[in-house]
Amino acid sequence: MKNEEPLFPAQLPHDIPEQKIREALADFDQVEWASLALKTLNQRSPEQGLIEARTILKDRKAPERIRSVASVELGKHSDAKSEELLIDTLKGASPALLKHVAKSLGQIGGKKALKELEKVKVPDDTPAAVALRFAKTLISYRIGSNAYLLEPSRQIKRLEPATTQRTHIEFNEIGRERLEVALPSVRRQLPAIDVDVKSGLRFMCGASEHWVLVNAEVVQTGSAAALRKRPFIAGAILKYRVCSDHYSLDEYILTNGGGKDEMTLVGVRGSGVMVHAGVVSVHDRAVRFKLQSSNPPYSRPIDLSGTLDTADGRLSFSQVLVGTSWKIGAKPLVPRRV
Amino acid sequence: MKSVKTTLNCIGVNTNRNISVLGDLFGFLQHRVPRDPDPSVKASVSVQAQLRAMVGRHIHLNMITVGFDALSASDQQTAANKVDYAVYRTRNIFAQAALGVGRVEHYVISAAQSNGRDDLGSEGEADDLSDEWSVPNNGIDVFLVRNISDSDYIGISPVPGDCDKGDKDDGLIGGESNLGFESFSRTVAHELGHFLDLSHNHGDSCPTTTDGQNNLMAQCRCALSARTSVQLTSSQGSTMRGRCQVHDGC
Repeated sequence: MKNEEPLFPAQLPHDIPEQKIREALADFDQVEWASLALKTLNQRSPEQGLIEARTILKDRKAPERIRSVASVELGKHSDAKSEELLIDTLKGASPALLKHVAKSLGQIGGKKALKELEKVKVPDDTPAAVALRFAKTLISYRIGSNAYLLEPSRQIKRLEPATTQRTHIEFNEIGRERLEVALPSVRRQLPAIDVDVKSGLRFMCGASEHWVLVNAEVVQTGSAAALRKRPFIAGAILKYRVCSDHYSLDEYILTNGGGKDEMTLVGVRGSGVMVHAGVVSVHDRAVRFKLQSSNPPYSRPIDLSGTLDTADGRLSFSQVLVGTSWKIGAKPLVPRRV
Repeated sequence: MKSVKTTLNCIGVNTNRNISVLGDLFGFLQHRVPRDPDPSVKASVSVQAQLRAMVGRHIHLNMITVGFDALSASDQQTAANKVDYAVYRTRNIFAQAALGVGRVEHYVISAAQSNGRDDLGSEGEADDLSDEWSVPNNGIDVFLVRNISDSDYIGISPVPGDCDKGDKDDGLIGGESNLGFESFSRTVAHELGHFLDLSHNHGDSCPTTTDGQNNLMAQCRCALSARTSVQLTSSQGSTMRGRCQVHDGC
């Protein structure tokens, strides 16, 4: 396929015929089409897309843009082959590719991935460094290591929703059936976390429906005590995206363990941006949590408290007040006008 | 009908300087009418039609490119052409629904400033981008990124977008520079439709009628073509015109 024969001058990705996808993936000279062809394949047939993504990521001569798409896709499937391939790609990856590879490893990697991520050195405060740091953090929480835990930073402030500008958020059950239907797409967002289908709740924040899901490990026998001992990815909040018609990760809910009665609780986005902070305490089988700090402009003032009964997975909220005004704390940056 | 200067003042364009009809009234970054990707079609604009459109309800746009400076010089030129074509197409698409596109301003976030958000690896990163940046005016922030490496989406918008600038859902991701001209333009217009409270015009199953498949709010997987699937119904027009981001006529 050459420049003078564009893949789809007026077509949409779903229109691309199978044969054209194959042709595009065989010709990296037209990288934008090859990249679009891989994305289309990932959407149409994730299994075929995964096989193709692995082949492309292995090919060190393939353009960075398409290898980036491949590495993001691998981070949505928790399996040893993908993890191994992502680890191999760490060596010699450009900073732009490294950002995606590290993020994907954070999502699916284990102890070996953590060791390999520790060996990679990049300049501080670059997107790749941020991704590497958060990948190590996420793996630490997942495997229960204390190595790279988060503590609320300076940006996280206790912002109480003003009494005149706050709204109460209501939570309702998602329902096992609805959650099970959505599980394949939920697994793409949380590939290495087993979600408890009984305890999921839904709520509206702004115009979007959100789901709060609990890690099945946290509602197993004896998990309340375990929660005190080791760090956990206790759950996650997913946000419904109208355009792609699925729920995507909004924030991970992390608990720090540490053996004390009261532990740190943080809400952090998939990019590593910490958005909420609070505390968790364990009382027999009940886990009580309180969230009162936010990171503007990423999150609104919040005052939330509730309980997770680890014996039956029942999640309940006694108070959820969210500020309706964002005009507190850091303001967004203003781009340069041309 | 009001004069060009009066209309520009009304839509918030500073006229105490040299003004360009194609730049200031039509919002083309390159101050020229963009070329239609179909060589058999000549793109054209009408000053009279635009002045008339501004008498009715209209929106203002902030087209914010993210990391386009990391593209090669020729790709930067192509991307600029796509942005202008998207402005041109969006105006024509929304005109069917009696919704004008008024002031269009252009903004830049460089690759270095973007903290890696010029190449989005997830929908969450798209949220980060629109949370971190905002233009403090009465226009809708449309972020156009260099690249999207996540296969799960080609654009993102809340339904509807927040009324308050600086609020959580006050911007949308209009697409990536790699899309073809028609797909890029349709994605911008489609996401703007979401921002102005339009949902998809179908559920899990695609529409069975040609009109349904040719609607702007048909998901990519259901649309017949990026060029023709841009129709709007009168009810969709009425929904959009009623939104808080839409301004009264001049």
